[in-house]
Amino acid sequence: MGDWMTVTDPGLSSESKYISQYTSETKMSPSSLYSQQVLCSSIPLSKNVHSFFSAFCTEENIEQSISYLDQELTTFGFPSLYEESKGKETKRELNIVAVLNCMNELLVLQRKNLLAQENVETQNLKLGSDMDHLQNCYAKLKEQLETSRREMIGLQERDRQLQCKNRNLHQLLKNEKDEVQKLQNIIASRATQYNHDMKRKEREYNKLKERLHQLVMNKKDKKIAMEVLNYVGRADGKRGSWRTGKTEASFFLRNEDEMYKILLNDYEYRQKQILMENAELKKVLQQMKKEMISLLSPQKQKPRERADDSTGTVISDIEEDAGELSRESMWDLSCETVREQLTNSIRKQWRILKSHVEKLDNQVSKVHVEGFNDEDVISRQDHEQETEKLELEIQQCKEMIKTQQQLLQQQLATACDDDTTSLLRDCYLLEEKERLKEEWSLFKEQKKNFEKERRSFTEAAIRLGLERKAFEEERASWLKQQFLNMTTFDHQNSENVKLLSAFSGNFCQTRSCVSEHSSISVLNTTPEESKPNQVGRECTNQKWSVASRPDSQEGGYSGRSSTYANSHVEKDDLP
Amino acid sequence: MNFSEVFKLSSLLCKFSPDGKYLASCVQYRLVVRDANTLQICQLYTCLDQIQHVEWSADSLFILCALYKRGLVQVWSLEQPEWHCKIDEGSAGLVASCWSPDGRHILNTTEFHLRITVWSLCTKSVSYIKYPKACQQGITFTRDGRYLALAERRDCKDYVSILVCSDWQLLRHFDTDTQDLAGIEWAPNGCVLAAWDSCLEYKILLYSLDGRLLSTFCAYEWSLGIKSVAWSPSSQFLAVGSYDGKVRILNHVTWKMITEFGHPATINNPKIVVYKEAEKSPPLVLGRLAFPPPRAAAGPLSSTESKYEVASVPVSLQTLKPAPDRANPRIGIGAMAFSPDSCFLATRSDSVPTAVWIWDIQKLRLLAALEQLSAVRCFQWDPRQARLAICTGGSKVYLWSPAGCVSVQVPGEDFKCLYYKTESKGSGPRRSCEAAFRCGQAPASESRPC
Repeated sequence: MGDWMTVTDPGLSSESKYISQYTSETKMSPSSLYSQQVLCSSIPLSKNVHSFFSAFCTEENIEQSISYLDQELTTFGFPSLYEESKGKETKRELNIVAVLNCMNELLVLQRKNLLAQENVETQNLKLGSDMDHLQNCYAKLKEQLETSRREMIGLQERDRQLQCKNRNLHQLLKNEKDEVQKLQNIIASRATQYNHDMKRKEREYNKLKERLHQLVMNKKDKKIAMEVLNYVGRADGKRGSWRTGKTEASFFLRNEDEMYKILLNDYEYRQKQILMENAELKKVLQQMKKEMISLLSPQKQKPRERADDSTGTVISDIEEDAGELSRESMWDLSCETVREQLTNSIRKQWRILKSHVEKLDNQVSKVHVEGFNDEDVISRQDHEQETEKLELEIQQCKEMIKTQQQLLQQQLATACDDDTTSLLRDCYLLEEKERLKEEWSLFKEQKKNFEKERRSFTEAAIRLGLERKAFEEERASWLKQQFLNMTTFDHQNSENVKLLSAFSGNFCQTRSCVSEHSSISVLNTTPEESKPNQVGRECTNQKWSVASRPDSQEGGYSGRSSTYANSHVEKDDLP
Repeated sequence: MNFSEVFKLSSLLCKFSPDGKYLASCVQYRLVVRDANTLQICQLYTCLDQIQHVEWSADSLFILCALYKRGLVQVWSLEQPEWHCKIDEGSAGLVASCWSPDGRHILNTTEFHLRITVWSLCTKSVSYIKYPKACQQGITFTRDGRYLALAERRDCKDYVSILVCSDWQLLRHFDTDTQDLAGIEWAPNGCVLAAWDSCLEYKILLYSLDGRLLSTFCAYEWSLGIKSVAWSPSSQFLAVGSYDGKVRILNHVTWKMITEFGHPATINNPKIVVYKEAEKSPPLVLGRLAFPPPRAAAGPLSSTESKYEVASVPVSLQTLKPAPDRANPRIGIGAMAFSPDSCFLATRSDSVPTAVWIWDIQKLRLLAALEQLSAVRCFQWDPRQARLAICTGGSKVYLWSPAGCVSVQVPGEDFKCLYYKTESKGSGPRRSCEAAFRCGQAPASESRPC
């Protein structure tokens, strides 16, 4: 349709009109002129048209043209241009009115015609485009038809091929089945043949064996013998008894008895086990039942309120059942009635529970659907935060585990030669041992330090003593000189000597005192020195206790401190 | 784990006494008995020929040495070194010899399974049992030593005889509905006997002590059937390993299958711990590298350290493709062992020879899988605890416990662990003896108890 619309171009149409105009010029017949006139009337009158009209009717041929026009008009059914002749052979007069009427009518006609023509033209165009369109459609449909026909043919071909294939496969399958059947038959026949041959061979073999047996055993083979230094006693201490005809039957009976005893014992054992298992299961059932009842009982008011009859009655039944079955004696009975009761009640309760859970599920889903808009959003955020936090935690834990694993693997790698379980234990022991060793070395070092300090102290004390001695000597010599200077008498000399000896004795005493003092001071220093260390350890102990149990912190601390004080007191007493 | 010095050993004959006090080992025709604690030689016996089989009596008082080539059995007493006993089977030949549970009778199977001779050490009596069946496991005693079940074959049909061990009287005799009985085994409680058909047919039958058929079980038809059978120590479960690579566990109440353990080549479940043995060779010092390398260094196992790594799932295990044109294909569950507390089951699938699967019986699921670098030769549980020892024929012993896995290098040059034995009974509360044995390529082999 679009194509058709574009065809009606105004410029083009006007051009075609000019062309038609031009052609009308060449043709000079009055009929064609008329039609041309009709055609061109829509165009505003131009000089060209005037000249054309003048060419048709000239001064000379007025009469002729009038008569021509009259003829023409009368043939077209118009009233004659001439007046009605009243007399014969009189010259007919041109009736102007008629001419004008005719002209008017012609003009009207022409206008009508023009309109009709226009309509027809548009219709023509429309129809033409319709035609085109339909032709296009037709072509298209034809094409489609062609392709679908081709497709159909292709499909038919494929179908045929597939069917062919299918037939082939069916044939193959049949063949294979036949083959299988044949092979199975062959196998079966071969098996029977084989079995038969085997049997035959075995019979032969048995015969041979029998023969060999006779040959080998009945020849009184001297070689078949047992050499024993002396016969040994039986393991159970009994004497071996010989079988005789009389005792044989009793032996047999005894053996039978024993066998049945063993079997009976086994069955009894198994029955006991099964009983125990049964009892356990019953216990579990009972517990389950109780829990179910306790679970369902708070809920039972609701259905009653709602007059929900079915569940209500069932629950009341259950209550009755529970009352009955709670008696312990019922559980020991394993008769069928109790079992039935039990299973029935459990089944009922299970049904109730199931329906309840389903109801809850429904409620939950409803709530979920209803309350999705406001509260859930917040909780989701919380959830996300929580999950993030948890993920972080998990990551940390994973890392920790990884490091631990690495450590473990290292440990295992170093000592994987040993037994698996004892190895691990050994590892721990070794670790502990190592730690203890370290501690021990630390202690040793401390001890050494103390020793060193002590030595330095003693040395200092000794030095002090020596200095004191020197000082004392100096003093003595000074006193001596003083004395000698003061006294000139000989008899006094002896006294002087005495005094000197007394001084020296005094000196000796003081010296020992000093040494004593120094040793004491040294000994005193040791607890003083060790004290901070101990305090420190106490602190660590305290810390440990805090870490392990925060609630018992006070008691533990006080107890520890008191003991420590005791020990300190003791230590003080020691030197 | 401590290791003793290396002892000589021939044809892997080394056994602890049932009471755990002594260790008997054979070197050619000599039998050496050592104290299991101090490893000092207690007794030394000389047999007439190379010893091919050694067995302690149940009371640890006697040792039986079988010399199959000569058809001879020699018995030695530990209490009286001068005491001796020699049993000659003569021209009948000898293929197997074993003690009865009372330790006073010896059961000798003659060549071609003509008969079983029961020799008594207490009296001069000799009993014969005819028609024993030559099969995988034809003789089985109950744990309490009261009864003996024996597979028999008469007129192309399988029978089982139950005999009372105290006087060798027949208690029950019944035919089994089997094509070709392959083995019988008592439950540890001695009340149920499991009998299974040969691998051509999947069939296991359970008989009561009085000969009643309790149940039969058949998992599938046509393809190869049962390869191994194991009772749990509690007699509660019977594990049946078959050629389809699955272990089926039967219960003792209904004798129906509880569960089925498949052995897939890939492990996807992240709950399962997969231990992979990884080798790391020591750093090479270029200047010291000798050419050609010395013999000790030539073996890659002796020079490298190995450790376990926990592999991350999914793990695909190395599988062997079985050769379809050969008999006894390397598929199916070849070995199974329950732990002494019946909590774990260790299995080996022959198509995945480097792996050991450990199943949790309480949860009935796979607990762990161990993949070794070389094929697993044997594994054995510690009799006291849930600890599994594995030997692969290399110079290491591998130990698994629920806590983890370790590989232990056995010191010594060119030492290959082929067998690993552990035994403990009575004596000290915490004592177990473990020995790894070296293969017998060289004439003198060694054992290494520890």
